[in-house]
Amino acid sequence: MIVNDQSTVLSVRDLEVSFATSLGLVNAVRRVSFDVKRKQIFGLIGESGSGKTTTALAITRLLPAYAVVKGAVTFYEQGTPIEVLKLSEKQLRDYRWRHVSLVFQGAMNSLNPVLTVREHFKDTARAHGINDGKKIEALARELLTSVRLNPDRVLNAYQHQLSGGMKQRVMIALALMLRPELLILDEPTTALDALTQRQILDLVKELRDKYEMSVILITHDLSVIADTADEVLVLYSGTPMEMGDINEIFYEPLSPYTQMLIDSFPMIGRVVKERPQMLKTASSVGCPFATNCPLATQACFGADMYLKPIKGSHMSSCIHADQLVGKIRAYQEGGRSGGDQA
Amino acid sequence: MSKQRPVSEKFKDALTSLYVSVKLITSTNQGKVGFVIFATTLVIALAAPLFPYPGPKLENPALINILPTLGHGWMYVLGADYLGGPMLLDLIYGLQYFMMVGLVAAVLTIGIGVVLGLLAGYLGGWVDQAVNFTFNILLTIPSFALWLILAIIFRNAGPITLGFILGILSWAGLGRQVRSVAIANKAKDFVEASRALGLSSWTIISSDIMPGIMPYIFMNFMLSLNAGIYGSMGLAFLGILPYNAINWGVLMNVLIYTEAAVYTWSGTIPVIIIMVVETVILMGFVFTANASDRLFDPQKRKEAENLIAANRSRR
Amino acid sequence: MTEERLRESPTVSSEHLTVTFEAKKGLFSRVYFNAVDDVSIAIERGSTLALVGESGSGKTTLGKTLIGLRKPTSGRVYFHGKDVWSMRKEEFMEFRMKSQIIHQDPYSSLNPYKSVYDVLALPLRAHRLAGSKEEEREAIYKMLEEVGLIPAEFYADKYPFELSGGQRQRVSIARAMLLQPELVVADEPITMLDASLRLGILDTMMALQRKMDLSMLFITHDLGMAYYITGRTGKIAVMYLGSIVEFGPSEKVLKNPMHPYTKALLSAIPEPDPKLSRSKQLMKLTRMDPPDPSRAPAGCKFSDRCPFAFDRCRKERPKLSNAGDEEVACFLYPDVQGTPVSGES
Repeated sequence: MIVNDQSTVLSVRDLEVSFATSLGLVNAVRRVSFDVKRKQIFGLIGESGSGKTTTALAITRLLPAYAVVKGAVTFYEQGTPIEVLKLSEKQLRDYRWRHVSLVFQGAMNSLNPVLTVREHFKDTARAHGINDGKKIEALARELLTSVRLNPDRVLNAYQHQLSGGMKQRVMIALALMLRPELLILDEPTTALDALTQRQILDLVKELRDKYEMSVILITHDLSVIADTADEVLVLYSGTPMEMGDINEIFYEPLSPYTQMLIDSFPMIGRVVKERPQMLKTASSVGCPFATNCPLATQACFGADMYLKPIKGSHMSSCIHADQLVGKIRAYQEGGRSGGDQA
Repeated sequence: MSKQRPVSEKFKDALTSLYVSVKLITSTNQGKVGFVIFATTLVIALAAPLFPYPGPKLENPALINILPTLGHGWMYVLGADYLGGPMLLDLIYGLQYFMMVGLVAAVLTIGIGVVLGLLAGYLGGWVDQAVNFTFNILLTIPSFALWLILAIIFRNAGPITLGFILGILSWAGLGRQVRSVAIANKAKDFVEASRALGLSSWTIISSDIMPGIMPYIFMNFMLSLNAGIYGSMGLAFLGILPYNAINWGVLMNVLIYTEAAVYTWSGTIPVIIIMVVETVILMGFVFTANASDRLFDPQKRKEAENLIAANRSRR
Repeated sequence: MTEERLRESPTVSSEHLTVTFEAKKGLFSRVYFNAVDDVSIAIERGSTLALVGESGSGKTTLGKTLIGLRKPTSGRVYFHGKDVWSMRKEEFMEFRMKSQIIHQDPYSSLNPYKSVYDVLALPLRAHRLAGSKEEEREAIYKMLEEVGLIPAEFYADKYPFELSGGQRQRVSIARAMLLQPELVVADEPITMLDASLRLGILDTMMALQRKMDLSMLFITHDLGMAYYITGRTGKIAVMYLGSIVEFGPSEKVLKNPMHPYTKALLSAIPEPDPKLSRSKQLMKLTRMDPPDPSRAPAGCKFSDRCPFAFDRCRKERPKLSNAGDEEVACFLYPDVQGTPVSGES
């Protein structure tokens, strides 16, 4: 059902992405559905191969020609729905960067080494119809300030003169140029050190609070999600495992996979549970976690995996989710060992 | 205790890799054609001494410059030249001469180019500055002009001397390529890991850096051979080389200036024959050189091997 | 020193180690800065030391200098008590073979032209450690199994382009362990890997360390990983702009940090627990951007970012000195004139 709620910015329903390869059709994303609201940081967590980047590319129609996309992606511009998957090339150019922009994984490495930051802004502005030099300059200054960079220091710099964190912030500033309602960040803090990471995460929160933007934050790092996200979707092997509010996911996970993720994350002061040897299953039916799951039954191997509401708006695709209801995790204070208490 | 594998094993490995290389080159149609031409050229060039020299001459002066015919024996299948000798033999002797020139030029180019490029790239510092400077100077010298001058100075240049002359400048280009590969790879982590493993500089160069250079060497070898042919043909055509060589360039010269090529059939056909032969040989070189991708890049090699296996299973 | 005492001394240690780099600023000016600044450190046999710091802290340079891949500008590196750079050729070669490195980037740490088998065969052949093809193959397969690349025959023929990041790192580990080293420097070996692979690789490394009684220097910027790998007995050294600012058992340092920089780092990292992570108080530094190593302030190098800096900090440089179980270089703590950093398991 398409939500016509004023506060929803993006609505994804039954998204399926497959790639046509010489070995046949390979499924990358299986029946994913979620909503992103205004002023929300939506976290998409998954390991490599989970389909999270593919989902982001599907939303922005940046997948290659041999990708087969099914389902519906609806963007709500002030309440008016735009069917993204049905847009023409020309309409896409309006959609991208103006309504939704994307900062790729490792984007900071794609800054052109022979152009200054100012020239990057000029390029991007001109590509979107802004040609007035003075206007571009003012816009660039405003954007850089909004990402907490000093325009005087940065505008004239080349990419090799900037640190990793600064480059990442320049990429974010560029992505904000047309004031999109939705910003997608794919692994924005990988390879950045602790203090810089903190700056980026705080910036993301500021974008939500001060500029009332929606952000889709894609990462494999559970602590980043825990710190920043309002709502979370957990993906594994292209399959949606669980979705809910941040506290629901962490303190009452309704999927054994989520539980495993949380338990096996190294944390200072906590003894970590051993992580099972994960074998990637090639089958496109059933739960991809079944081979390693403590709750698995025969039915799991053929189950139809899609998100069902289990507890209010807290959704899970696990057919045994009801067994996990009520198992609350303790508030982890540094130094105390973790675990769940029934 | 120091152990080492026996020499016989190493020899067997070398033979196997030669066999595999040939299979890889011939895995595509282009490769097959190229290799056949290249191998034939090589064989003929090596076998040239087996053919009678200076070869039979037709007694009847009226038969000079006849067109291809079978009437006077198999040797005249491509016709006769301006001296009455068979064109076929001229082409074969000429081939040996050119291949010799090309080989010397190639060996010189590759030998000096690779060594200097590696030294400059791997050692860096003032060695690099000096060698790089030399490369840059040499590349600005117009090569053909230098060849002309040198060929005139060494009036009685045999094929080996000629090879030296042609190779005298060409190592700078290869040297630069080798140097860049060496510089790029030197900084890579796997080279540092090799150092940590206590491998000698020599081992590191041959094992970590050379594989990146092999495609350039291979390409360069083929192109040097070909340049040898063109260079000496050009010089001979201009009349700079000693006249005693039975040289395609000399033939061309005679055909064009003396025998009215372009204006008469008896002059034109031999020119065409020479040009066709030269083009076919060049094609052979280039097609074989195109296989360098498959030979040296593991990814391409695996693809080619899969292709070979698939073809074999289909039979 | 007698042979016995030599064997007992730390596997690797350094004394006032300094490595100076040149930074070109403009056409005519050259600025020098110390990537590693007067570091004295020791790593005991079989122990794990985590070296933590931001990018530009000098941790990689320190690691590489400790195993002889870089020559120090001044100061000494000792291997079992012997000065590495005055060793004879054979002794140095032994040092080389006994200390290995595992690199950060799985995409440039393996020669793309060599198969996994070739990569491992080369050092065996170069040092003549295998007498026949069978012996060689056996040794290589065994090593591949040790690092979890099973079946070994399958992985031996593979080229790097056919392997995933995690698999490549395992090959790097196999290569490092092949010569039975005594010390392994792991330079952010899991940073470029996906989260799901990290613990598996770390577990493999730790198992091999126990089995071979190795010393390990684990370089990382991730404090959670540092905690995991050092376990209960390991130590941690926090580096800032070339100097060690805090050193001690990781249990102590990470739970009760003393140096303001360590405190700032710990307060900045997100935790895998929403309530905890969001209730953390970030210790605000006067500047959050990473520092420029060529423009380090006089006095304590951290003084221009430290919220607690006072007069003395800007004039004098604090030395790493004993403060109970740990050692810290900060004027906030009463200094005890210094025994240099030592490691005792």
